Parts: sequence; C-alpha cells; structure tokens
Amino acid sequence: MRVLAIVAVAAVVLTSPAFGFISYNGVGTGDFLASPIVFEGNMAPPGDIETGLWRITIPDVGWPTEPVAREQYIWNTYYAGNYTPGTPGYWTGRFDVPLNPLYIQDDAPAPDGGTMSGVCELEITFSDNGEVGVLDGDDGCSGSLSGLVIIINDGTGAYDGLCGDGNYFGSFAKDCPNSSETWNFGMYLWLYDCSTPVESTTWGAVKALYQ
Amino acid sequence: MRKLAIAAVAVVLALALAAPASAQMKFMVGSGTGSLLVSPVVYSGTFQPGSQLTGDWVITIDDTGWPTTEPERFNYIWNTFFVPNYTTIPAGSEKWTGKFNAQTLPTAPQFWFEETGGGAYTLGGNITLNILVRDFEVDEYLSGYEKDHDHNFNSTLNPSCDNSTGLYDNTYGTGSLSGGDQNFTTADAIEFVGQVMLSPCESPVESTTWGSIKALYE
Repeated sequence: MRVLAIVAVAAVVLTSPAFGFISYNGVGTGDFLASPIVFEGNMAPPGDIETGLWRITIPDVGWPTEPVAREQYIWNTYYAGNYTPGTPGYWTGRFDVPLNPLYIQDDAPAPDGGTMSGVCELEITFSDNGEVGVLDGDDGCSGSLSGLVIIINDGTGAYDGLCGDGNYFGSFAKDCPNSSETWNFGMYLWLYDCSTPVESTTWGAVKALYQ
Repeated sequence: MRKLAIAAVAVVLALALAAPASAQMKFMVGSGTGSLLVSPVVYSGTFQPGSQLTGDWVITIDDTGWPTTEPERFNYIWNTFFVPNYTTIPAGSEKWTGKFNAQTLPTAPQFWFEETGGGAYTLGGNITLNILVRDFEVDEYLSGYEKDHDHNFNSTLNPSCDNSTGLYDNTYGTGSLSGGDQNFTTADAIEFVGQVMLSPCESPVESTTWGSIKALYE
C-alpha cells in the first residue's frame, strides 16, 4: 500500500521545543451555511494527541441566516474580490477578522490530558474548474486550507499555564450539492510556559520607559 | 532554528480522506533557505525523505519597490505588510500577521516544484505567504525578542495547467503548506510540510465548450 511506503521513509526530526511540541491530525465536519459555524471533529491517530476533540468556530455576527442570502454574502465578502485568473483561475477566502476561536481537548488520562483554547486564522482556496471566473456547480466542492494558530493561557490539566503558537494545513471536501464539508488537517503547536505573566507586564513597562 | 516535527504518517492518512476520487494527493516535506531581506526574494530547497514529491522547490516574492538596504528594507516590509494587520482580541493573542499574496503585491508570489531525475516533473503556479509575529509583551511594539523569535507561517498554493509537465503533466489543483521557523535574517533556514491535490486539466476543447455552456446560463 502506497501510504505504508510513505510511513517507512518519513523521517522528519523534532528538535528542541521550548516547552513542548504538540501535533495532531484533525478530521471533522462543519457548514458555513449553518449558524453558528462550528467545525468540529476528532483526532486521527497517530499523533501527540490521539483521542480527543477539536473545534474551530467561524464568527458570523451580522451574516444573513437565510441560506441563499447567506451564501451570497459569504461569496461577496470573502471570495469574489479575491479571484486570480489563470489556467485555471482560483478564489482565495481569508477568514481572519475577527480571529476564529479554537478549542482542543486531549482525552489522554491524567496527567497527560487536558484542554487548550485559542484562536486561528483560516485561508481557503479552490479552483475555478470552468475557467470562466464564475462560480459553477463543481467549484468549491474541494480545495485546500491552512492557517496560523495562537494558544492562549487558559488551558487545563497538562496544558495548565501554557500558551503558544502554531500552524496547520489540510484540505476540505464538500458534500456537493449540500453545503456541509469535511476537513482534514495536521496542526502543529509550540507551547510555552506562560504561568508568570508578571514578567511580561514588567518587561513591557520597562520598554515603555525607553520609548 | 526550531524544526517542524511531523506526524507524517497520520497526515498522509488523514488528508487522503478528503481528496476527491479524481484527484491525487501528494504530501510534501521541504527544507531550504531564503530571506525577505534579500532582493530578489527567493526561498529554495529540496523535498525531504517522507515526501511524495521529490526534487527541488522554489518560492519567489515580487519585491518591486522594496528598499534594498537595511534597515530601510525591514522597516518597509514591517510597516507595509505587518503593521496594518495587528490584532489584540482576545487577550493573550496579540499579534501581527504579514500577508503576501496577489492582493497585497504587484504580482502573486510564485512557486516551482521540479524533479529533473527519474520521475521528472514540474509543478508551478501562485502561492500565498502569511507570517505570524507575536506581540508577547502586549505593547504593539516589536521588540528584538519578538522579531528574532521563530515565526509560524502558512500558505495556500495553486498549481496551474500551464506549468505541469512530466509525471504530473496536464494537471492542476490546490495545495497548502505550513511551517514554524521563519526568521528575519539574510539566510533564513525554513522547513515546511504540506500537500497538493492534483486533478486532470480539461482539454482546450472541453474547457471552451464548458465555458460556452456556462455563459448561456449566466
């Protein structure tokens, strides 16, 4: 099996994480036409987190809730203005203002498990398969996604006192003509000890004196 | 430099689930060097063991109009691409994001993947680049520590029919990649992981016909 061949030769090395490096693979579903927009799923082992839950919520304050109007709003706001002609052309949607809340739950038994939360940016691209610059039935049924991640200091369990940042990349497949879609991605996080916020505050104050 | 650790096996398995039946998904791990501070901006390197793509990779960014000397060049990059994208909400996530793409540059950044040996191929097209710089001190001021910290980055990419040859001749698609070690140095070593999903290009006749049919209904 081809995948197993890849397994055998995959030899990327982890070196010197500051306080901890965590990676996991997420598989889940969501729907931009549903409100609230919640993409949610589980981890796909192997990975540093093998059992648990991830959730990315796309803020939709002010978006129409009626499906046709909502789809048109999303198109006009996030994609139509970001068309790049080519062979074929493609659209790129950026969902980064406001940032998207992220929740990660590691179900490993104590003392290893716990929860993290933060925010992420999301960039989605898909091809204009008809090469006309107009969305047709096949466009947007699959594509790629990636983003940047920030973990804020409100974790629990093994992640208590940690914050950090990271990234993710993956793909999506929509259940066309339905609007629900499946995401598959790998997320990579570098976690730091943020349990002493006084240091940051003090350093900021010192810098302010010299600005 | 901190390297990106990959659960390569699981990524391949997970991503393959989302690829359309007509598409072939290729997982990649790349390492190389480049710099935003050197003109022209060229990141280049090789695909690493574990990749389903082999050979070399190149990413270029159009730096037309950017200063060529320091500190003017970094200041220009910072003020043009990062400062407008400073965010503070929620607390604890304060950051700048630099966005380099077809909408923020004179021309879209380009990528080129190539194998010249056995299994020769080329894949090329447009790519984006987003770089995360944390404001750890929450003061909207870039400190030396924050500037020198390893920065996460991500991209989406679009291989085009015009640039596919050899093993992947007449294919196009989308892809994405990410990494965690961008730095503002003149010889910045980076590593990334990613994927491309490739589909067969339509023949010119098919494309023209389909375009005409769509036009009838618009």
